[in-house]
Amino acid sequence: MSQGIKVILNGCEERVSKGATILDLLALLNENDQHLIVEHNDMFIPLSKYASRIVADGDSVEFVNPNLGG
Amino acid sequence: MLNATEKQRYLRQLIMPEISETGQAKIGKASVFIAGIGGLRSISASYMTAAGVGRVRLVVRDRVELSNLNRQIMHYTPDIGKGKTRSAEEKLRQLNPGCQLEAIQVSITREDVIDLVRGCDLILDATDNWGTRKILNFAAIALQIPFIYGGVNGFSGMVAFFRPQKTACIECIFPDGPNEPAVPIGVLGPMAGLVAALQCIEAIKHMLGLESSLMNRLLRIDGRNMSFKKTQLTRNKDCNACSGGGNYHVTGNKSDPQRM
Repeated sequence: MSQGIKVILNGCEERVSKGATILDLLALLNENDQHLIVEHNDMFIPLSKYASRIVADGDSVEFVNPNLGG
Repeated sequence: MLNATEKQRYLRQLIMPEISETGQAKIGKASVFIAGIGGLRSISASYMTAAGVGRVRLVVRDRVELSNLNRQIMHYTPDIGKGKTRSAEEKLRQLNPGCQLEAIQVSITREDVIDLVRGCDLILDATDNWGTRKILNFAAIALQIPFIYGGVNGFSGMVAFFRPQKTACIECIFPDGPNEPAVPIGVLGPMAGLVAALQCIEAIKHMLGLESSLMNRLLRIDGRNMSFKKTQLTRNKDCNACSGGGNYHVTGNKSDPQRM
């Protein structure tokens, strides 16, 4: 059985399946908010790419709430 | 040419090789539009006025409340109940009488935003909601001027420099707009101060002709662990606001805030 790959998800190490996408990582965290800022290796990922963006071993992914206060 | 008083007032800026008298003259010719309610605006309006920006246009409509004072440091306890425009005008005119201050007490709407912003070189965001940011983004794109976003949430803050045609716009990042908070969000006063100060640095760099370090980058600040991270942004080719068939446009002297 594959050991999968390691990614840093919101600062914590997680083991996920090889070929996992941003959408898979959102599901892993039960994250349903479509208004999060998704950052993959310091790059902003738009909503339209969540299903196709594949993460690799050692990648860093963050889900960030936008700051609206002033 | 600066007079003797101005040379004294701006001495510490004139010493800077990036500014000198040439740069100070550029700052003096600049016009800034600041929209917002107070935490960010207290700082940005103060720094813009103090730096010698030629014209500062403030648009705000509400009154000073006790719960504002932890972060809106332009207003003091005796100002409670006063219109924020009046309170701001009093402080800023005392701070720098040489700055042309335009304090306007209206709500910003999509219909009048172009006329409100017209004549300004950049927009400093000091709002607390997505709806007004979307309207300001529209104006920035229509008038082809930079929109410097700033936002705060508790110990967190964000800053980005959006420049029409050259960078992503705020709607490239949030096509549907984020959810508006149902209840007031927490804001740490110093975080609002930090975010607004960073916005001002970017604004002054723009006036001086220096490239922004936040072009197509979202600066994310976490005050709990003192981390500053930049996220690389890219334009959304399908963005309704700034790309393709969704371009905003302005015709004639009056605003025409429709989408083509």
